[in-house]
Amino acid sequence: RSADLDNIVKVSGYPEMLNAFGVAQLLAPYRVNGVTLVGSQSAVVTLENKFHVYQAVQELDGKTIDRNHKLEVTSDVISVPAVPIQSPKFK
Amino acid sequence: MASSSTAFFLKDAGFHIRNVPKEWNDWNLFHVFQSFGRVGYCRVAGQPNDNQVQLGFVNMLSMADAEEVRKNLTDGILIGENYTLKVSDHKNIGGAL
Repeated sequence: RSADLDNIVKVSGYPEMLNAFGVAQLLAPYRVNGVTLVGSQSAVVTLENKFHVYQAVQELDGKTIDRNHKLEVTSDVISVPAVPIQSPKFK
Repeated sequence: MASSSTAFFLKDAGFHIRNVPKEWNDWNLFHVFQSFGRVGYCRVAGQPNDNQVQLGFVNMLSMADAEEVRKNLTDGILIGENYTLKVSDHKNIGGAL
């Protein structure tokens, strides 16, 4: 699988005991294609595509895991619509 | 090869979109469908002959999210402020899994 830079999120702040599987579980239901642990509480995770990355950051950044752990999920992906987005008329 | 319209996707969570405005890119399509739930995959494909509209493919992350999209369709049509998308269900090619 080709590794594109916009498929990547950086995850940190989770409990130290987690291994790569535990880190992948943090990102559910987004599809994890690879986990590289880069410290005791930090990992670089490859997701399926930039939309998974974008939504994972929106949904999981700042999420409280327990009273001692707050998740930090960041990426370089930004939304670049070709024309400005109108607010959806119905929800 | 998970990222093409001919690859396999979660059953009943995929849509074909016609009548996508020609100035849209994948993010425009994504934000329309994100208002209904989590999006798993989204693509704007080649233009039909008249160059006025494009084709698109969207897969939601779960069947529940896809059901939320279906609830907001009226006769297979999704109407917004400046667009009218024609949405139909995507079926996987039988027997190949």
